[in-house]
Amino acid sequence: MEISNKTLALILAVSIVVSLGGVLISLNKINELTGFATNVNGTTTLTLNETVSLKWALGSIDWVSGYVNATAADQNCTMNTSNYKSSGCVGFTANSDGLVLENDGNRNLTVTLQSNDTAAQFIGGGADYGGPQFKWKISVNGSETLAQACANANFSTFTDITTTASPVCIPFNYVDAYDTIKVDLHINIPVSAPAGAKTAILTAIGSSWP
Amino acid sequence: MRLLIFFLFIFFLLFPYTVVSIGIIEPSYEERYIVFQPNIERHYEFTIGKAEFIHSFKNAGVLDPYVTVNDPAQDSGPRPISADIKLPEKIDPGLYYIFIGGLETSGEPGTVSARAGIQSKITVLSLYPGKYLEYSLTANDVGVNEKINFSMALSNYGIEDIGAVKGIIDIYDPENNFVQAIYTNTISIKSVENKALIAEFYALNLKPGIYKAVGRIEYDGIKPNSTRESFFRIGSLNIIINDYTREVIVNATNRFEITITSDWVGTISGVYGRVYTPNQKTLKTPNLDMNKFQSATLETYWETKGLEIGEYDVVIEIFYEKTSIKKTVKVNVIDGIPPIIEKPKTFEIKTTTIAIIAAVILALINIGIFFYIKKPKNKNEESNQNSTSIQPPKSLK
Repeated sequence: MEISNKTLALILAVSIVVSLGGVLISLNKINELTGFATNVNGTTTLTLNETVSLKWALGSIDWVSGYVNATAADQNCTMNTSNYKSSGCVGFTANSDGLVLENDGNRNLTVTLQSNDTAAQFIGGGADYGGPQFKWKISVNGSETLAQACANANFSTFTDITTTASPVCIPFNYVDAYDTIKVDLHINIPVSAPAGAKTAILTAIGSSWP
Repeated sequence: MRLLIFFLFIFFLLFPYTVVSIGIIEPSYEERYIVFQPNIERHYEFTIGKAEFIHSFKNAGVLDPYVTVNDPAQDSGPRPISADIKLPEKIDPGLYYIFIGGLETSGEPGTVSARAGIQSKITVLSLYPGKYLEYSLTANDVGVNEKINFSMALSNYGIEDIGAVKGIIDIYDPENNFVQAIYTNTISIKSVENKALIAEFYALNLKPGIYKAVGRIEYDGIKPNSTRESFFRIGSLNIIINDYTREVIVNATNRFEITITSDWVGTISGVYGRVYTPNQKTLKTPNLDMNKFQSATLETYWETKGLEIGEYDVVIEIFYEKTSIKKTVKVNVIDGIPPIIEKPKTFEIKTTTIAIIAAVILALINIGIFFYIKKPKNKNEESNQNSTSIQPPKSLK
């Protein structure tokens, strides 16, 4: 099939318009920067809206599938997001990264965290071998200190997750160098836990501070 | 076929990578602060966005029946929403909060998935009868012999103005022994107003440590029993070695970490460490700057080739501000799988930079492909075309 120069030029123009348009739309979505200028005297005013925004920079942990070794001395499987997987775990994929929460707006935030399930609902099983455990811990992400990201951070050691909104970071800094925190997770699966797909949802809600 | 590959290439370059995020644009703090009056009404407009599917919500506690959220397209993409508040004839004195926001309808797949929500807080203050002050106390950390600034933030939540209020702050040392009482300035404060009392104290001859301040207020002859506590730290120009790598693998390159904490109220620049190992190696860490009372980790790499399994003395020396501290520690050299040493990150590129670079590359590729595919023009053809163009059409002959 022969393509004329005119057709090629048209394709070029359309593709450049689509490319640049796509980039502009993407950038607009990323930044949500809005402004307007008004004044009858010809003075221009630019208003940069304050955006309250929250993002999971790393938003899921997947230990995939496996089972608890029922013939091991410790008939439970303990895993966390520091790449730890106990000897009782058969299968499963270790995870070396916790969830990462980012204040990607331009206001400080107060942040609460909650789970949809308790440890018993998420993992199940009896009280044997430590029983079902589902814990979280707030820690520093990157080179900043936790105090730089959160003046007041709760759950600095592994603590049982809650199904009610618990304050975790007040205020959560918006300055780029200090605007992330890590949510590490710890689970324990006793051998008595019923088989089946196990999932839980953590919800972080931010509101402007103060 | 070539055209199909070309369009597929453009499609994949343009295919967006999405990150779970949600945002809200809200009215100013002042607009979102309501001093209660019987049957008062307010209308607020918000924009919720960034995420593809957002569920709007309200959370107003006991005020829930008096709040209506207007959302024309629940569970859809970015959009404006509004809220109408019609408060009742009477509510008890105190502070109330109304939250209006949006929540991502789903998160990323995984064993544990996370979703984000964002909300705007509207404060409702129902004033107390008579005189009523809320207050808090803060103090700043200092170095030895420096000035400590105390601040007592006041909020007048009473219907009446207050003519004169002052604060008294008792200071206790790290062993909880009373040190001294200090007094703030005296000010007046109107109803609904927020102000602060201040006091200064010089930490002369006080030893480093964590001190306690207990504050109380007195106003217009009223002496409430309540007190407020705050802790402050008097620091010294010291660095403390908190922790270090206690086990390394034999015949391998091991990361050796030293956790240190600054006891200084300011920044200490150029802090670094040296580790003197039993196999006669001196390991140096990179330099770093430490902010006030900050903890940090220095790291270096230790090649343990030639050492036997066992416990060894290792000397850690930390250098800062023309001085150093030394600590001899025990480290176990053990058998095991050699660790995988990760290279440190050298730089990061922001999403916007990547997008702009991709756009420029795309445009250049498009132009390149255009000139590559473009048919070369034959001069003879051109002249023929020109000559035929001036001849009358055949049908007219």
